[in-house]
Amino acid sequence: MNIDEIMSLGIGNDERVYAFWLQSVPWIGQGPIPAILKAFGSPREAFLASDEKIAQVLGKRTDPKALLTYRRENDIFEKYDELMRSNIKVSFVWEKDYPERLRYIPDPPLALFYIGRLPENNKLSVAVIGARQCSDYGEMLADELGESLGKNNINVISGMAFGIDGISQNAAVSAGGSSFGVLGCGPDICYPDSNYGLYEKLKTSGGILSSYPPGTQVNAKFFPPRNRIVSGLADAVVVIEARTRSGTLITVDMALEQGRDIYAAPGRLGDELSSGTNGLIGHGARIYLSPDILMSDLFEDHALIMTEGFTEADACLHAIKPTYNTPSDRRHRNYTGNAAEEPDLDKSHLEIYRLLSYFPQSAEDIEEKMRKKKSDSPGVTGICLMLMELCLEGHAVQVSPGQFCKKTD
Amino acid sequence: MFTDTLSATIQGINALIVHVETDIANGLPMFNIVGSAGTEVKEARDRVRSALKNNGITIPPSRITINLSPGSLRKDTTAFDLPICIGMLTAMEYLPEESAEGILFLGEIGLNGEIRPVRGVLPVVMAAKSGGIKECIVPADNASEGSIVPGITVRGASDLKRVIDYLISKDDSVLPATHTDPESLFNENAGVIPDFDEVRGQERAKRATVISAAGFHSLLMTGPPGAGKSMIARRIPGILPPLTLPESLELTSIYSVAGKMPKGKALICTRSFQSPHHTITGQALVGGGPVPMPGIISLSHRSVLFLDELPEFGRDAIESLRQPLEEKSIRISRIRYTVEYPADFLLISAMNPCPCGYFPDRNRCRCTENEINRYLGRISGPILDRIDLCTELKSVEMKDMTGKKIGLKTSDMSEMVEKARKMQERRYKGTKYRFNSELKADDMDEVCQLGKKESLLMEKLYKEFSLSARSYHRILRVSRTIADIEGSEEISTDHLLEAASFRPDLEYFRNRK
Repeated sequence: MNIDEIMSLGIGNDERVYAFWLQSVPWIGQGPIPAILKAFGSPREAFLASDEKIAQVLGKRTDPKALLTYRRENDIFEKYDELMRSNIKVSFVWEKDYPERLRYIPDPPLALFYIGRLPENNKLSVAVIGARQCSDYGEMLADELGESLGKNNINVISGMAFGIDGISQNAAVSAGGSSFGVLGCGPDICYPDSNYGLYEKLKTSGGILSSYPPGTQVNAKFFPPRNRIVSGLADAVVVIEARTRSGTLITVDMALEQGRDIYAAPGRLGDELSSGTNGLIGHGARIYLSPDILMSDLFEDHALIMTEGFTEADACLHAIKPTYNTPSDRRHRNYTGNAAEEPDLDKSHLEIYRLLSYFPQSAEDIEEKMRKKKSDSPGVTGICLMLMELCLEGHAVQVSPGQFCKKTD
Repeated sequence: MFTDTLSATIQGINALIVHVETDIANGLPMFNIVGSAGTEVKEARDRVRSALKNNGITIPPSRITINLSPGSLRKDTTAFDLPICIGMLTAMEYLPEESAEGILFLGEIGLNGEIRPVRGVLPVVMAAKSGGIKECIVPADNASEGSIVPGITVRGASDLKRVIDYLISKDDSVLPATHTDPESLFNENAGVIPDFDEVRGQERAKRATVISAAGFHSLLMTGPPGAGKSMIARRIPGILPPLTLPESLELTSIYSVAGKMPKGKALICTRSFQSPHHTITGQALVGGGPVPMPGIISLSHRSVLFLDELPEFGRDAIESLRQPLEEKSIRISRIRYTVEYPADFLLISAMNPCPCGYFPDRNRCRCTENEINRYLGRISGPILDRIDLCTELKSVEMKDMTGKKIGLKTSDMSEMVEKARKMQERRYKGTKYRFNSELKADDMDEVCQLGKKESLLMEKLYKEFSLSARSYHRILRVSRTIADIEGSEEISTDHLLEAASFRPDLEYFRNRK
């Protein structure tokens, strides 16, 4: 059921409490909501319908027990009042403040519960997603991308999970940008606990969103529907790191269904955490090369969509101040890799710096590379000292007691 | 009749002279031992009675009282069997009155009169020597250990009969004195410690062990299984300077008191390597028991204590290391007394960075953040604070094992350690310190003076790595040792940087968002 069909039912604001009820039943995702709306015409009719009628509508595929028990055991009006009194806000799909992008996905959630604010329609939004157990490489990419998006006033949408999600959102918020976390539980519950800091920050620098009513506990089944909202709120989805069979790729499928652009960050062949993203590129996803290139693509592609499709679009275009003047600046056509800007270092340090990569290496590894290149090696200890100096100057990071990575600017 | 025979009991790793007073008087037949005697001592009554009977000596039906003086000192040892026996024989006038005078006796007796080995012979003989006693008769199995002490005659006896014969005849050939030359023991006892040249690659880890051995800095090695952590640890005793005679005597005393002397060995001449399993209890690690005994940490005194799989050790066990790491000794209190065992050990520990062992190699490790944090969380902050160095080992690759590059050998490394030790010896002459690792913050300003450039660097390190005051001092201490290895009086920026690169900080693994 798309938005046009929903709107044609003519649901009004007096139906808020019933729509809230329908959305609050512990379904998996939207469950049979479209079927119910089609059959009864409005949430209120469904609420007033007899048990038998509901069972008949739900048919054989859905057990009516969940709905009937929920209706019988909860005072939905009191729950609604409680919600209204709380700091958690709610937006219904027919209302003006409901995010435009989400409104147009297939089967949009009837209600969206949130703390903070909703993503603005007139600002670009990018979903950054990826593995929870990410590598240093993924961490670095997510951090760099989040920061760039934050600085350029682009909303970062993600699931506030461990790993890529949290890293990119944290980076965006720290850079002064906005970020929105979509949860697989009620918006009043912080999951995972360890991201509590981020959770609090999002309340002021963005929002915490969920299609699940307050108090809903985490359930593994709630995550795939959550991912649908993540991609639904974004103009483009960037996948940083993903294994071949992973939840991240489910999000990608949903994003494709919703017509979003997919960008995948390439990785080394043989790295398990890049197998999913490399596979996406193989299947025709756009290649993510750098935040700059991504952003110039976005500004070019979405400027158009936004002027046509969104009512507040004119204002929004002026609000966005792209760092690139001309849309023709499609940098990846003459992409030269990351070697373009080298820090100002003396010869020996520069040599070491060039041997560093985004993948952790030990001083011994670098020594071996130098030996292969037949250059004068200062020995493992010497290399280590230079690496430490590079760390101090902000060109490298000591990621573990013995391993070093190049640092992104 | 009343007699007084000399013996001794162990207190900590020292011995105290005990007078075994025997009185045989008329009255109801009775055999009583008094003077804070533990069960082992009380049982001497039956052993002595049978041993004498089986050697053809009958105890008169009289009132026999044995007093172990000083009476307030708790005694838990079987070593009083022999002195009680001798005391009674003299009191019975079976032996001439003066025959046992000035001789210290020690030994457990079997029912047939056989004399069996006891614990702590070396400290007893040392105490006898300093108490002005000229002669000791100890179990034959312990004779060589006791005879290490110069200037005192030590005779080893294997059965009661011979002791009686000797005391009557005073003929040296009946119970010959044992002679042992510590110097020669040192030479022939040069232990076989595997050489570092068998460890291929791992240059950083080898460097860390040199620093660790040179300044007695505790070391933590992390890395995946099979990277060679245990292999390296096992070779560390080889790069520590050889034991000196006083150190060796101290170590032998501990072993002797603990009853851990290897059979047939008179002296512990090489630094030991203790590698307890991670299921060890706190008591076994630091010492204890109803009758206190030295634990593993005391057996690693002036040697290497290797804790493999550090996070797997019980919390109690690890936390009990705090005091000994700080004070270099362990005090064990019992209701009526406290003993102190030396425990100045070099703590070498090893761990995997996560439960599966392969983190941060995400191709192999799929541990979740929570699992990793929980695993690292098992090592408490206070213990981590007492570790000076941390190094990471990577899996060994085929080419490393077959390659020609050997890197540092044990001989090179011990040379470096020796050099640094000499510098420290000179610097700390007349102070309470022996090694850089012991430096307290107040004395650090003087010993670790930094130039202008170095102070600036330190400031930068402090900010960049968000160091705590404690880790700041740790870097200073380690850099002092690195400077000593390089033979430099001044600490340079290179020394500081290298010390910083070895800073122990599990946040590396933990501060992921």
